[in-house]
Parts: sequence; structure tokens; C-alpha cells
Amino acid sequence: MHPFTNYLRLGYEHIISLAALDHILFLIALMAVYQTKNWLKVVISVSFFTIGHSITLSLGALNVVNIDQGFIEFLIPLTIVFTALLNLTKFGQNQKSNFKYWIALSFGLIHGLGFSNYYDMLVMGESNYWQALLPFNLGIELAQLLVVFVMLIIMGIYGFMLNKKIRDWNLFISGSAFGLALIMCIENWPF
Amino acid sequence: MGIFWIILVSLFKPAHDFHVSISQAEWEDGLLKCTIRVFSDDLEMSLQKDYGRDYRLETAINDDRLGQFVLKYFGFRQDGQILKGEFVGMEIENDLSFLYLQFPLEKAPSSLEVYNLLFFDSFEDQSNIVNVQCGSVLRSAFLSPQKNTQILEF
Repeated sequence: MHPFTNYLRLGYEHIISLAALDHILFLIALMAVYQTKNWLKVVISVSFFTIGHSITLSLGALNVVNIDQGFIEFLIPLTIVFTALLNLTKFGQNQKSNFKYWIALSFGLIHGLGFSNYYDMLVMGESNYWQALLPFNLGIELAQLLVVFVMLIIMGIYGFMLNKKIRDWNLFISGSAFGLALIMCIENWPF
Repeated sequence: MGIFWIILVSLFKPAHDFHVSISQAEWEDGLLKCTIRVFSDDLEMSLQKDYGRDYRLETAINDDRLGQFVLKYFGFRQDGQILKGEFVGMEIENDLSFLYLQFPLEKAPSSLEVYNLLFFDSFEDQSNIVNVQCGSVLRSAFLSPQKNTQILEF
């Protein structure tokens, strides 16, 4: 194998393993309002999320991301709480709006701060800055797209075959995500 | 029902443990030179398992036993024979520690079996990547507790 493949696998497995459930919870909440026919919007949103946390991960060297880790662990579930709440508003349920892209990008920046200890491992000692970082980020994106793909199928089955409204799905998913993330916020209360 | 929620919530952790080590090896002029980079806290914890809870990573720099410790987990085989390795030294740089090793190997290898079992006894999700450069050929092994050795062809 070439190192590229192995760094790609590292990023991929990191999301697919149980370690990154908060990432997956965010993705599921982010896409809860979309009908399956709007799958392209979902893919773009998720890619904006990846770009967001790739940016903060890749900025590790500049120390701009030297924020207290305890505070970040509080901020991450807070992004899920906010996304779930937004899903309950008319504005958040608008399938045509591009606002979700910007939400995904800016919340991706916050999620990337949780990766701070990855940066040194992936960059220090490599002959080329991007050698490990780029495939690692691509692996994360691949895994997230897989999660999205599976969720779209489940949502498609729910919508078409069971003939249920995506609105009910959204209420169920957003409610669950809100509850779980709120408990995470309280557990990581930094003040 | 309460237990269900506790289990569910405990699965969601914003801070991800990243159980990874990355090693670079390069063959040149009869020597296979290796740098293993590990997280300092993982290494200290692993050393404490062998040498007691009060063992500090800083102590390891001047500890003769460190080489023995590393070579127990990391190395190469050629034609089924373990290559005799030599521990060169160690550097600590904040979160990361760098372990330096070298293995005398007269000819450029056409095939090399690599193993790195560091931290496999501590973390089920540990991944150890080992990149080996031999001339212009670069090969990489992905080692995990499920697959702790790999043969690289050059």
C-alpha cells in the first residue's frame, strides 16, 4: 500500500468507529429536514461541513486554534442543539435555502477544533505538509458521505414506501438529537 | 429506560481519542533508520504498565531499558528472521514523542515484514502506520490489533 491509502483509511475509520458519534449525530440532524429528492443539497451541506473542520485541523500550526479544550467540548454539542432547534423553524425547514451550507461550514470549523491533537501527529515528521493531512481529510469526507448515503436510503424508505411525511421524521430526529446533545452540553458545562 | 439513556449518552463524546502512531523508515547504505512518533501520554501510560505507576516519560530518555521496551513491540522480519535492531534515542516534543531506531541491513530489501504492536494491549482501536522508503519506492503498512504484521514488497 501507498501511505496515501493508509492515511485515507485512518480518516475514514475515525468517523465510522464509535469514537466520532457526535459527528454523525450532527450530520443526521443537519440532513433531517431534506426530502430524498434534494439529496444534492445534503451532499453539498456535508461537504461544507468537511471543508470547515478540515480548515481548523489544517490551521493547527498557527496556534489560532489554541482554545481551551474543555470549552470546545461544550461548543460541539451546542452546535447540534442549535441545528436541531433550527430544524423546528420554518426558516430551517426551507429546502431551497442555501443557509444550511453556511451553518455546516461554520459549525464544521468548531468541530475541527476537537481534532487539535491530530494535527501534530499528521504533520510533524512528514516530508510534505499535505502528505498525511489531505488523505486524512478525504477519508473523513468519504466516511461522512457514506453515513449520508445510508441515511438517505432510510429516509427514502420512510418517505416513499411507508408513505410518511418527512416532517414527522424531522421532528423525531431533531427531538432526539436535541435531547442527546443537550445532555452532552450539560455534562461538559465549562462555567 | 434510564440505563438506556446513560449508555446512549456515554457513547457521545465530543473529545475524540485518537489512538494512532506513525513511523517512517528509510533504507540507506546498509541501514534501515526508523522514527516512530507516538503520543507522549500513550507512551508514558504504556511504560507505567511495565515499570510502575510513578514512572515518568522524562525518566525514559536516560533509561537503558527504553530500547528493550520499544524493540519488544516494533521491528522487522526478513525471511522469517527478526532483524536485530538498535535503539538510538528519544525526543519529547510536547504532545509527541519521537523514538529513533536503526536496523543493519546490508542489501536493499525486496520484501520486508513489519510489525508494530505498540499500545495494542491498551487500546482496541489503536492504528499504527509504518511507512518504509527504499530507494524511490515508498510502501506503507496499516497495523491494528486485528492485523499486527504486514509484508511490504519493494
